[in-house]
Amino acid sequence: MNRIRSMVILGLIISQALILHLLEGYMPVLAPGMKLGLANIMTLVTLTFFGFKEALIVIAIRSILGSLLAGGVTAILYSLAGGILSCLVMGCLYYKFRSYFSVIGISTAGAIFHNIGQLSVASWMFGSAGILFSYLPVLTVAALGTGFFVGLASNYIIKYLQHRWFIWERG
Amino acid sequence: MKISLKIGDVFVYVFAVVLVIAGITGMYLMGLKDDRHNVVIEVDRETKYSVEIYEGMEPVELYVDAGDGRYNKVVVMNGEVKIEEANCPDRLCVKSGAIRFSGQTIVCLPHRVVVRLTGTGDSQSDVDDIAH
Repeated sequence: MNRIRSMVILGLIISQALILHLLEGYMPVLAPGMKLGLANIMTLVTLTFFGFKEALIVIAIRSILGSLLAGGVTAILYSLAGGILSCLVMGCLYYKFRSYFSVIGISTAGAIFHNIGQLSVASWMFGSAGILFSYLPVLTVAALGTGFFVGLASNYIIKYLQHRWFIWERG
Repeated sequence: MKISLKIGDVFVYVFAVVLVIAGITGMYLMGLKDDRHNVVIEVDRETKYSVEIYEGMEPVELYVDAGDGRYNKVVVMNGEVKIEEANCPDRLCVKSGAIRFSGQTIVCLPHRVVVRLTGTGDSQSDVDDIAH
């Protein structure tokens, strides 16, 4: 695929991830910090069709822009830490152990490590490990559920795009 | 399309269970160190209040000023602490309810307020006292 084409498609992916990130902000949450993580669908798509470096770019730009548009400046730190950690883990699982993990497993691992990254930054900023311990169980259980459905959705969209990909490649 | 889970996914779920257990035990280990606590209230990492809390105490209301007219009203009572009222946009601190074990925290991110229960460090309740 040529450079301009991949740049355009990456731009589209980032904007889609951004919209998902912003829409999800309007959803009611059960506990503080609990989110669906729909934008992770686009990260998984980038990991599958582009590569680790591109996925990291998508997640970084989405975190910064999403936090500036909706969350506020402090949210950038949480969002970036969670995003980068989850991207590292998902990239590692996808490129090293792809034969052992399904998309659902990779997405769940990503969701869990997103929480770990965010909580680590939060407890570092407030200087208290209590935040990490008291939120981790709740958020991990939530991540199992959201990671499953995000993985399922990614599975469908990746299957669909794989079919279309050849047309893009040749066109 | 059938949903196919692979062998590695089991490890993800096992890892999640381990994390939940580690979190809960970590919380209780920090909480069970002693039965008397201090309530420490911090604004922007600076300690504003440090109040002792014990069973059967009279309720104490603390007005925490986070600057620019932003406030959190903290109520310390019979062995537990909660933020009763706040003018932050999301009110997650009020919704998160009361805490009663040391190591537990209530966080108000928009106001950068942390309410934390810690051990008193009082030698009367120290574990080492038993050895003496």
